Amino acid sequence: MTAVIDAESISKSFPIERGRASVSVLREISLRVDAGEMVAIVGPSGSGKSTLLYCLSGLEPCDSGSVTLMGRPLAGLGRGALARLRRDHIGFVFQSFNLIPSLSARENVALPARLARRGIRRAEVDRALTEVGLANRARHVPGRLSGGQQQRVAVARVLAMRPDIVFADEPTGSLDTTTGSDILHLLRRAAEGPRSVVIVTHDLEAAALADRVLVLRDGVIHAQLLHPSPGQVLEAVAQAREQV
Amino acid sequence: MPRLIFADLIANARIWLGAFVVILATAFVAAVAAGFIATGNAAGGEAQIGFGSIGGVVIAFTSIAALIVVSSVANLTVALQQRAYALWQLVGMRPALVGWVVIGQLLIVAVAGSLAGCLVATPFLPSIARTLFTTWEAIGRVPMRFDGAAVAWVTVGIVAVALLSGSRGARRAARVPPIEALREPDPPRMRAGWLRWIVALAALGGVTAICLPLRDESFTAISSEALILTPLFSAPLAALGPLLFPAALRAWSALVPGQMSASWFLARHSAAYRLNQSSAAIGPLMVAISLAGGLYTATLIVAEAGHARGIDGNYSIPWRGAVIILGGPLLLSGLAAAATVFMSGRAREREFALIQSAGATNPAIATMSVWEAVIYAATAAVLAAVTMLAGAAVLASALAVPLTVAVAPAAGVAGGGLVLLLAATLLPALATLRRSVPRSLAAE
Repeated sequence: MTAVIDAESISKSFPIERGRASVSVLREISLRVDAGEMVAIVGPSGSGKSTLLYCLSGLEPCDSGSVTLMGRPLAGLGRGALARLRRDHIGFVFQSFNLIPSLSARENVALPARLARRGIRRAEVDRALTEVGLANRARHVPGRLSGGQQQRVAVARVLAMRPDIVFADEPTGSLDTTTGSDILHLLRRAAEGPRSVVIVTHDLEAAALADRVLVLRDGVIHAQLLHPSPGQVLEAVAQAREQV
Repeated sequence: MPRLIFADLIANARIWLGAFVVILATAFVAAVAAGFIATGNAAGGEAQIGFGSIGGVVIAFTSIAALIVVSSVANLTVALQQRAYALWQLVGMRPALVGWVVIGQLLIVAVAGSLAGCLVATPFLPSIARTLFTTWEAIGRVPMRFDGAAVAWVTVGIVAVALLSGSRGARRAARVPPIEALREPDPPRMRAGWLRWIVALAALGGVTAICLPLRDESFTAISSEALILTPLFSAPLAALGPLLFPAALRAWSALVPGQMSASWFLARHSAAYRLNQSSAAIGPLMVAISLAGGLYTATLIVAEAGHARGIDGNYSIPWRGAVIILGGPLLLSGLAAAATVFMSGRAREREFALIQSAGATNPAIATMSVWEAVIYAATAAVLAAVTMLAGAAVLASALAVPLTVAVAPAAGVAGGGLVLLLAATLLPALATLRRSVPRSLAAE
């Protein structure tokens, strides 16, 4: 299998007390994500899940270690090259603030293509919106969509752009169970074929949809589970929590 | 409750600071006018006529811009905090109390801004008077007087405008459904409500009443009314800003193909979206361009008509006169535009972060900010051009001379506005680009 993400001993800390001290969030984490793989990152609050996701995606620089995305080491890339890498290979779904408020759902879906000056047919955009059940909301701006609908538009953006890697940070964190489940299944579908999905979640059902689950604790990978059941994920997270 | 009022003022300092600065600037201009009138009244005689007329001119030419600026900014201040108001209700605050807290906050900021404006203006009054009256020595030597009564007039006037403008927002804040707090509430769109229609129709009536009999009036009578013609045309446009400004922006900017660049496309949508929430970014600038252009256009046409009739006279506007007439509106329009963009900085920060995460490069985002400033300034210029042309057409037809428009002064003011708008859009964008995307996207 080809690795789309290859992280070697990455560490990250954040300054606290106005820079007089620092708190270590990630410690020497190594991780490989293969093409077509869906990886879920779970763990107690403050375990470094989101920071790991942002470091892997190049949104947050690591203090040490290396991350290679699509065969390109992030350390050597300037801001412009990083932006182009995101534009051409990566899709994001955040917990909130996913959409540009001034653009319609259709325009939000087509935004990455527009930034890449890559033509995207309106039919493709509409097909993605249809897939997420929002064909009749294409002209609505985010302010006129519910939280769940906004998340669906963000997923439609990912489906339309077909990026090589999708990073999702708590995509169902603010949604009801049914809507959250719909979003997760859409993301799972996004990971079919050569695309990879890395998802940070508190939702055990969500984690259980992944091919592999990483349980984080205190900035280190505490356990890795392959095709686990929700019960196994719960047990692993509980163990991690006990040892915090 | 006082604790909540002050804690919220501090928590949303960015928004309130914008409102404070705009109110301070308005109070500064009002204090200069009030100081002139108070000095004239105290001195009597020639000084009373001189100071009184100049104070009156400053008030007359600044009042439209001041009304637009203070009311738009007061409204925007409330609109940007819808989420906080919804959260207050979620924790059990009665809706009516939410409205009163908002009014209380507006009152504090308006009083503080007005007093600060008066305080800042006081030491400048003598030098402003000396500069304006260098050729009128008797007046230039009169000691300036800016007493408590003048301060009270300025404060009461500005506070009244701020509270009246903010009261609708406060009532709306009290009606925000708490569930909105769980979503991403959009600041409410501006609407052309019944009050705006009444103001617009009244202004239109005033314009018609002045324009219709012009043809039958004497050259002297037309000349004396010429200066107020264009500002009058801008009043109905300003009143119907919520309806006209976004439409004008979309109309002219549609001439540039959206495919030209992603930065242009995003800037156009962003500017239109923000213009739906507040007209403060372009309303005052439109008035300022229209005033400058209208003033010089009227002078050109009157001069042309005077020469045609063999009436000699000095038709040029001395720079001091231009400062008296245009200084206030220009100051307010520039500051209001900058403050409006600054106040909605948090939302813009998130927007930039999101665009970055979608793969936009830093230069693309900087270009987007530049385009946004250009779009605001150009929209103001387009609307001002309509008022200038309308005023010029009426005047030229009444005086039976060819239509002439003074483009350079209008372009100069539009250019100055563009510089301020660029500072307001580009500098925060560049600062935002230094922040990490996850931190910008993090929930509050």
